[in-house]
Amino acid sequence: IVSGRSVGLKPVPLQSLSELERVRLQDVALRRLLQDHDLSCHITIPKYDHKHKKSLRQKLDSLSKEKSKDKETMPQAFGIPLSQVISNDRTHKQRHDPLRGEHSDPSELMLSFLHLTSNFKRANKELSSSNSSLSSTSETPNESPLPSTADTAPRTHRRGGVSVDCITDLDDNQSRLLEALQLSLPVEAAEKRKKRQDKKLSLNPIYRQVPRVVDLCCQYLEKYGLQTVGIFRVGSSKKRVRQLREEFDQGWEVHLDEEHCVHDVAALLKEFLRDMPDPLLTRELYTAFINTILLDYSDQESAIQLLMFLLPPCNSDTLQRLLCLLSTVAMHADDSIDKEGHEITGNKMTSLNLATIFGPNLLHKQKNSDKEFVVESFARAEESSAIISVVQRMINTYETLFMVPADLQNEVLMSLLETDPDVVDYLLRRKKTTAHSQPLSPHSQGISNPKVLHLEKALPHFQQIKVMHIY
Amino acid sequence: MPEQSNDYRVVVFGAGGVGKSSLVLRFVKGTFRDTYIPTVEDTYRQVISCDKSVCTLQITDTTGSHQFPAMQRLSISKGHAFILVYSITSKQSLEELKPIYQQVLAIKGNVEAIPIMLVGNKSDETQREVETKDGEAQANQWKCAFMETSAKTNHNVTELFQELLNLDKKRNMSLNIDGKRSGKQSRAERLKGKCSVM
Repeated sequence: IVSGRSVGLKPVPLQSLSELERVRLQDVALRRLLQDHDLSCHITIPKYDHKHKKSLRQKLDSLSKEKSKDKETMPQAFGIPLSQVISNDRTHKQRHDPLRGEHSDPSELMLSFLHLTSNFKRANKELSSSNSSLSSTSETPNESPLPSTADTAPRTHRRGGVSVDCITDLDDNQSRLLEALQLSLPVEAAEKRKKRQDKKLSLNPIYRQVPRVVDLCCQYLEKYGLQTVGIFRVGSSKKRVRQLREEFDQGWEVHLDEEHCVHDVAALLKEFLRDMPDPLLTRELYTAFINTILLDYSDQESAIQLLMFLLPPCNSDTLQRLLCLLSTVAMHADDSIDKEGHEITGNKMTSLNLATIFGPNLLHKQKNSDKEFVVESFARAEESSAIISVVQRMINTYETLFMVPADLQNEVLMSLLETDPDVVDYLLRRKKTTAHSQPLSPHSQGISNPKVLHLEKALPHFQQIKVMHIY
Repeated sequence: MPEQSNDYRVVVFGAGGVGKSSLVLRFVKGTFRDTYIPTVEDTYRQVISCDKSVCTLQITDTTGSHQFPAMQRLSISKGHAFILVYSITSKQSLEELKPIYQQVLAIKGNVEAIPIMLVGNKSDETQREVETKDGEAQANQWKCAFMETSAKTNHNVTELFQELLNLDKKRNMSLNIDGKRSGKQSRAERLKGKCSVM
């Protein structure tokens, strides 16, 4: 521990934060919302999980309806809680990955992963950084995700995305890493979430919690759908969409390629979002999100961002993946001319059009799309224009939306100093290392407004800390 | 059951991008926009004559791009008459009307007393995927009326709405009020022949 260190904080991607920081960020964001913005409604941090309630009911349903069928008819992806989908995906991955097929116990799995990763590290120093960037590649705007790379790379690499940043820091303490990795599992995270003050929250970033079906659809559409006129608007074949849906629901390995129809895949993605038991932006935050349009235009973006920080990680990660796709689609809305002078047809789906279509899927307060829930259409009309404008704003500001501003990071660290002083230094050290190993271009946004957290006396108890904001 | 108000409610259904809003806007405002904007849900009102009195024709333009089944059911149960629109340039868009028709059937029971018009829009387009006879055959099967229209060239648009009102045998409705023709409806004299009621 060095005394008098200073670390410049700049906006960092939300997904680079450790689990501990993300949980704390929810508190900080909530405090900030209440303090800075008057959204004229009660705001709470959405519950992480309404776990198994729904799925139990479905189990009963499927048992009574289809007694003849296999017991495994419970859907694996559609119409079940997001956290459940993600946990099913993990099981699926374990089952389909020949490398780890024999492992059933999660800790065994982690041991093997640990082993592999440290081997990789020894073999190639570069790998760990390229590895960590792989986990966030698809979030980087303008950079088309590389499904081929991701697919050909051994799955362990992608799994390696869990927390590669920290392996360098921690490889002398394997047990701690092991513990940390295990804690990053979403199920564990869910349990930890209940005891919010538990100090054992992982110091590592949580692995990207995006359902397989969402990821595959997004990758496919980015590859084949950007020039499709009316993508997401034009209809699809109900039959083929149902087939695809069933394949995902049965937990099959699904490959989307040129043989599939763009409109079918687009419809599948919409259907997944629409059928979520709790909408992606959550029912709890419905009114708060809607009310952001009552704020001054200049305040809206920050309010939307703070609300987004309240979401459970699986919701915000999935939202990020989706908005990445939507902003890319919107960039291809107009006709354009390519390098050879050929005209490229635009898809005509501007951010407003996309928001019109996705808004009601992401933000609604209906209990369930299938239930008889009579909503008066007149009251709805106004709200739906608010929904659209919020979602349009999200698409348009996608690039900055998921960057945690320096002042918020600072608040998170300050708040951690009070409860978990011993981890702050570690987190700062990692931020510094990450900053060095991944130098950002001087023009990249964020550097323009650095804040400096100055640790005057970095004693074990960090009682005297001066925080300087340098503008 | 539709509530007893003085409104006569027409609901327009169809897949995304077939021209539902264009048809409605052409009829209500007499304009055509060559833009590409999806609809959430819009309702337009217009006064018409009904049984020697006047009533409000309420046209609900629905979304084609995301169906929340509950909302669809709500529109159907409230509607008196239905326009099912597809684009003659897309076989798929005709396919997509089938579940909607089934839904109307399920909610309304006997559809024979319910005015339903199957509409092949974009008749000005040259890249046809659905022949007129295919549309007619579908309408035959559904025992409903059929018409091809173009909101762009204003072909058969007013006729569509007038015919739909004529299909309602319980009421005697007309777009004309007291024999006076409003500006929009003066076009109704043209092109009467294209409409066939099955």
